Amino acid sequence: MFNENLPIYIQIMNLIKRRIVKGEIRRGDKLPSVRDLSTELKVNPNTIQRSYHELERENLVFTQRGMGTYVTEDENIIKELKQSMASSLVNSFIQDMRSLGFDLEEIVSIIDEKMREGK
Amino acid sequence: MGKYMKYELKGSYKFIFGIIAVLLIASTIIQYNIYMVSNRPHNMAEATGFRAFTMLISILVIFGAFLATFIHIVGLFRKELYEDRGYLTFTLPLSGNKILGAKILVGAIWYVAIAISAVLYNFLLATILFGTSWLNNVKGFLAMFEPGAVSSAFISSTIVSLESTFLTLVIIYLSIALSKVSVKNKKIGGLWFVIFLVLSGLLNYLTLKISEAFPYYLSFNNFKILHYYDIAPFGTIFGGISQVTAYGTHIMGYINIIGNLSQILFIVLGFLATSYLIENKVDL
Amino acid sequence: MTNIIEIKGLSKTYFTKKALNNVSLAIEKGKVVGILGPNGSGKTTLIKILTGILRPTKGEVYIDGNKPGVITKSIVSYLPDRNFLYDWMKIQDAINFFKDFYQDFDENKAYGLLEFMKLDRDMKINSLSKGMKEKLNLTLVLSRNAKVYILDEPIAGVDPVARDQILDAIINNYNEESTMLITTHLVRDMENIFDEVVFLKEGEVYLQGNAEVLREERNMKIDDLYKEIFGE
Repeated sequence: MFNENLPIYIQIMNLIKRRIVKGEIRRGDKLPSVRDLSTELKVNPNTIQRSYHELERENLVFTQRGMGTYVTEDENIIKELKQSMASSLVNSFIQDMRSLGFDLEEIVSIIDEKMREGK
Repeated sequence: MGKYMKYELKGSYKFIFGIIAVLLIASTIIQYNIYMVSNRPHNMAEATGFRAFTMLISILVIFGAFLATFIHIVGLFRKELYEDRGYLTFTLPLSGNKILGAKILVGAIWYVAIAISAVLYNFLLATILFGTSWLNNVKGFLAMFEPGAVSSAFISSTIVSLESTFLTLVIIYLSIALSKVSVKNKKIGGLWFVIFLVLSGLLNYLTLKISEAFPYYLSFNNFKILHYYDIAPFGTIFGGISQVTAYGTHIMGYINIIGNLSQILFIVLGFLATSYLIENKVDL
Repeated sequence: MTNIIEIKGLSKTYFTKKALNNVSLAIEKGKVVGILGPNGSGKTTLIKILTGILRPTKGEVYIDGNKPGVITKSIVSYLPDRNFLYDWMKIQDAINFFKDFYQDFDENKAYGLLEFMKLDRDMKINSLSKGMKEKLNLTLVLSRNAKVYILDEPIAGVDPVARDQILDAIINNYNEESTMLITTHLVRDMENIFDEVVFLKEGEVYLQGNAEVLREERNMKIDDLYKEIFGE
């Protein structure tokens, strides 16, 4: 499940972010408990705890004492998340393409072509 | 310790009951053959054929059963040091004293259980086969002696045999622990038996020498302390750890005071040494 | 943070062979620590010293402030790398046995775990397969509310289904009040449950650290790091 060479807590943060962006988890929703998620992913509960903690620092989630961890109610933060995920994906794509020697126009035209094909 | 004994007994009762069953069957065959022969003395030929053969087999079986019991009691301890079960036993929050104490008591319990059930069964069987007349014979025989004499002989021999049972068990376990500590290779596992023979020989020799050096005996008839020469004025009996003297109808049981105390001391020291070894020295 | 386990300059020599050489480790309370290394690296030797069934040649070991002995045995729950239950037992006997000897044994937890592992308490231990024995042993060991759990190769030689059940049981029964020490050479299956890892190579600590920090610093999974260190 965790195959990237990143720390597990970052991979779990990314997993939750994707679920939020895709709408699988909506704003205000309760996140699975640390224990449930650690069983599901077969990961040390301390690691899950750390992921939740980091997500909280990014204001994506908040913890209610004794209740659990919830996704933020703030629509703007989620929009920002979408934006930043999109731009980081595109950035890395552009970087890769550039390293292969494509210039901006070529990249755009390839994307354009692919998008048409896809439809 | 009681809890540990419970599981030790649970683990070995099937084997011991099997041994007892074998012993009872073998002694039944022997007694039955004696009965048949004594009832039909005119037909002695039968005794030499098949009957003699079954008798011989039964005697061998009894011998084998005692050997198997000995090996089993040795195994009670040996398996803990050489097999996987030691990983459970020696990680229990129990001191070496408790584990060893339980092992030795269980060994002694089985030993006594086998001895008593074999003796009682044979008495019972004899009563069934030969009637109660043999009881009267025994009573008549015992009545020849002074009152209290027989019980004093019985008490002194019981004490001495209990001591020797415990001492033997302690020396067995000490020898196994010593061989485990000195040689970690199971292939020289017979080493413990050599240590056992040397240790028991040595301790028996020591006991004898101590008894000779301090020839004072306690009588279980009148609880007086007597010198060796008072017991055996004719010097017919060698000094030793215990005495059952008999001249004429005068029978009496004595134990050598210092000799028996030193036996008890050997038991305690052997126990503590073994317990120390299993708690602090043995590597599984 | 308090150290629940302290190991100082520990060496163990068999005849002339050094199984452990000057190992020093401090393990914090509440951590899941992986002791990693191939067979013969000294993992089992280290664990057997901690559980009090092997004596150090040199050095010192403290568990919760005590040297291995009767006191530490009452707070350490140990899963050996072999079937340690008496062969005459049924599963129920084994549960009674643990209940009788360990005050921290939780009988109800044991029955719950048995059900989870799909084991029946009337089964005879002799008749269990290797995977079932491993699951039973783990059930007993995890059903204690011990301060320290020491698991020696808990998933070695079991099928993938049993392996998943065992991993689940370990994760579900972890709590912050206890410490877990787990040896394994199957790093890929277990690396995600470790807070800390210790690489043992030829009886010495080759590398130790927080698993996440190592992933970040080396930019690789612990499994890949393991392969790099031991050249598999």
